[in-house]
Amino acid sequence: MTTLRTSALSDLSAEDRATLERIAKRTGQTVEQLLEPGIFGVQTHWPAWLEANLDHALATYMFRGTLPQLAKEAMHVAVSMTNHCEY
Amino acid sequence: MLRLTESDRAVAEITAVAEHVSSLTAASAAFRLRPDVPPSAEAQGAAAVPLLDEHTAGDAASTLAEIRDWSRQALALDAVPAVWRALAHHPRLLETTWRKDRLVLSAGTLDALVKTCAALAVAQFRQSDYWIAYFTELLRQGNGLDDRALVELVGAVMHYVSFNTIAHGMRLDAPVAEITASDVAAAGHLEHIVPGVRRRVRPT
Repeated sequence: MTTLRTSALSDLSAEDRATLERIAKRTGQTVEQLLEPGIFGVQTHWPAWLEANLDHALATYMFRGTLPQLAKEAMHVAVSMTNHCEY
Repeated sequence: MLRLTESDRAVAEITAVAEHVSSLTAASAAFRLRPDVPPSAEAQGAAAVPLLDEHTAGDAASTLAEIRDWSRQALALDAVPAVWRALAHHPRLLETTWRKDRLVLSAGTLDALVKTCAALAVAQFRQSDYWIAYFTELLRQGNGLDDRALVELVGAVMHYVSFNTIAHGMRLDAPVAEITASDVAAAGHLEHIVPGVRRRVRPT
C-alpha cells in the first residue's frame, strides 16, 4: 500500500499537465504511462519535482561519462540493498 | 543488473560487495580508525587497539606481509592499511576477512572496477571516512579514475539515495520478485519492466 494514491490527470492544474506532457515527450512515453504506479508515478503529484529528478538522473545515473553503465547499475543495487530499499 | 549482465551470479556478487563493505565499515568504526590510505599524519594514534605489523603480529605476520605486497601493487603504498593491522590481533579473523576481501572484490562475473565502484558507493552511503578514503585511492591507483570520474560516481550515489528515499517515503512495493536473468532479457516475460527512465530521453 503506497502513501499516496496514484494521481489522476484530472486532478492536475493546466501548468502541471503541461509539465507532464513535456516529460512524457522527453522520455518517449505517454502521460498515462507516467501516471502508472511506481517510482515515477508517485512523483507526478508534483510534476516540477519529477522533471527536476529527471534532469538530475540525466546528469548522474544516465550520464554517459567515464564510468561504465554496469558500474552504475552495480552501485545502484549495492546502495539500495544497504539502504533496505525493497523497491 | 540482470539485464546488463544476463547473469544471476552478478547480483550475488554485488550482494557480497554490499554486505562485505558494510561489515568493514562496522570494523573501522569499532576500531576508531582514521583514514590512512593514502598516508596521513592525522591517521596516527587514535585507534582503539594498537596497530600491529609484521614484526609484532605473531601468527598474523604472514598475512600482513601478503597484504603489504597487495598494497604496493593496488594502492602504490608500501604499508599495511590500519584496518588489517588492527584485525591482526586475531590472526584467524584477519586471514578469513582478507581472503573474503580478495574473493569479493576481485574480478569474477563483474570486473574489479565495477565491484570497487559499488564498494565505494556503499562506503559513501554509510559515511565511512576510512573506507571512502581507502576505496577512492583504490579506484585512483588501481583503476585510473580521475577527479571527474569520482565526482560522476558521487552524483550517481546522490541519485540512488534520493530515489531510495522516494521509494521509502511513498512506501512503494517491489515491482517484481524471484526473477532470473532470462526474465528481463530480450523477449523475456518481464522485459517490459525495464524502467521508463532508461528509454531514450532528451536532455531538454
